[in-house]
Amino acid sequence: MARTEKKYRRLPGRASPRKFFSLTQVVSSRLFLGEDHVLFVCSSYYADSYKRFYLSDIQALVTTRTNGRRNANILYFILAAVFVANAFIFRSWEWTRSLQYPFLGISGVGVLLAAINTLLGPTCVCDLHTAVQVENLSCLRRLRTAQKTIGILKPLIEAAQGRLTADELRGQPEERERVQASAHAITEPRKPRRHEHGTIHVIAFCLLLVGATSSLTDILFQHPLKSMVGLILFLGMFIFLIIAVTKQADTDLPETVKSVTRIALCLLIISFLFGIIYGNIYRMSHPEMFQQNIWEAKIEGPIFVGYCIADAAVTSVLGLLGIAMVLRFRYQYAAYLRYSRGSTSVEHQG
Amino acid sequence: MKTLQVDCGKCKAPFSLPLPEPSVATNCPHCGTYVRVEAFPALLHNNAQGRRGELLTAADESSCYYHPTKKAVTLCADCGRFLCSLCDIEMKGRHLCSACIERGDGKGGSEPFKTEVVRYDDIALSLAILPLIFYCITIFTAPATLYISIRHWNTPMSILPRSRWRFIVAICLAVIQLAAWTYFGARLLGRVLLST
Repeated sequence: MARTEKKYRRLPGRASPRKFFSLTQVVSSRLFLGEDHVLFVCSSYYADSYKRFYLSDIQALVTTRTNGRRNANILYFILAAVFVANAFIFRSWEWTRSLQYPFLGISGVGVLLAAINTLLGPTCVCDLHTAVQVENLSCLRRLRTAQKTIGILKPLIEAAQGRLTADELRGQPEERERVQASAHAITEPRKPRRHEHGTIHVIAFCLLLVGATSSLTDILFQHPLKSMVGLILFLGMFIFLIIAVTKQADTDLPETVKSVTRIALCLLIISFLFGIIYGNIYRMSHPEMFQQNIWEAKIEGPIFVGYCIADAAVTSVLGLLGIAMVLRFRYQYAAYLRYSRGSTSVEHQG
Repeated sequence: MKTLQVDCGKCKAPFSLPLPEPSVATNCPHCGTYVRVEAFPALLHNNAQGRRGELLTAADESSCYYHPTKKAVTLCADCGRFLCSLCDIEMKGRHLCSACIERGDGKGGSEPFKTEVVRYDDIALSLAILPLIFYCITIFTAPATLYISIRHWNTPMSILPRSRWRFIVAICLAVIQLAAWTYFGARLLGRVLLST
């Protein structure tokens, strides 16, 4: 029996999964070359969607270099550094000495990923322009792959459309600068921004300042009641920061305030995880603590003091910065309101 | 000189890029990142204006099925309805109406218009493998896997080449799961009967 002829040829490039916990999001995409068109296949978990770009309709292929490789390498090295640091902490105690090897192994994986990422070359964004759309070819994420694909497509597009010469381009009348919204703005309309006064943010930042004071006092004074208050304070910070992060989406709050809130939440989670890991290791290295009530247990040592000082310093800086920025934003917003009310009253009088 | 309206892939800022050559390598005026453009002759073509249906001039003229005030110029090769030049869609030499094209797309008949397909083989395979973590629910998922595999065996799943190995693996796993349930069920029943 004769084999069925293949209609599509696979082109280089494949986007790796981006959103794992969404059933509707695109998890991978690929490009295929058909008889007279390029097929862009976006796959979600259980469905494929197709977009066809006819070779005769393609106006331009635009490739922009991005910092994806550098950012990913920074992340991988941070991961490696965190696990190496943990391995050194585990090395300090007899109980946990054997744990250092898995941690060193994980940091090795981080370094290996960074090496692979470096070898794959710089990252890019590739856009395909037609008369009516601009499509981001998300599968072409590496500059080398994008150039390879363009190298395959270019002669085929030129065979379908003919060759564009510099004289033809120069012979075109001078175009006026277009003032229309960008293509991305057309395809992805921005949601209208609502006003956010930032009260929740101020409460969260104030709690951060109180938390910083509590961390510092932990060095000098530890008491069961203080531990309970510290736990309640931590829960308060966590809840208020989560509400603040949720509420700040699509609001007119300055981007810096939003970033500080996100950073504060991340640091709180990291600090919590470090506290749990270090607390357990400390307890394992001091078996007498198992006989004590969990609230009465006292932790001492240079690592604990360093952790408390670092935690207090970072949280107080973030808290002060956040409060200052929210208050500045409120002041500016009040001034804007005064100005707009003033101008409308002048109009009415006129 | 021709200019191309480009959005920088890094800073997302729009800018007009003059094209002295078909291949241009430049930097974004906002963030300075490297941008390379390959332009093709379609950039110089003006968009063809859409056709407008001609209005009826006499009462005895045939009108479009979808636009009763417009003059019919052809009929749909599938359903035979009269169509004005606005509704007439020419595809591979055949004149069709939008309803017939939509119907063909729904049945999976007209491949050039297909924009989405469901991969039932992946659904069947996931339904056969993932519930193994909570093995007790396989009593429900194994028959469901068999049903999906048999029901969609002939459903076109992709316009790209795709074999049926996922269906085969799913069916095998579902049969094994059902056989295991039957075996343990029979043993349990035997014990109950013996004890009574």
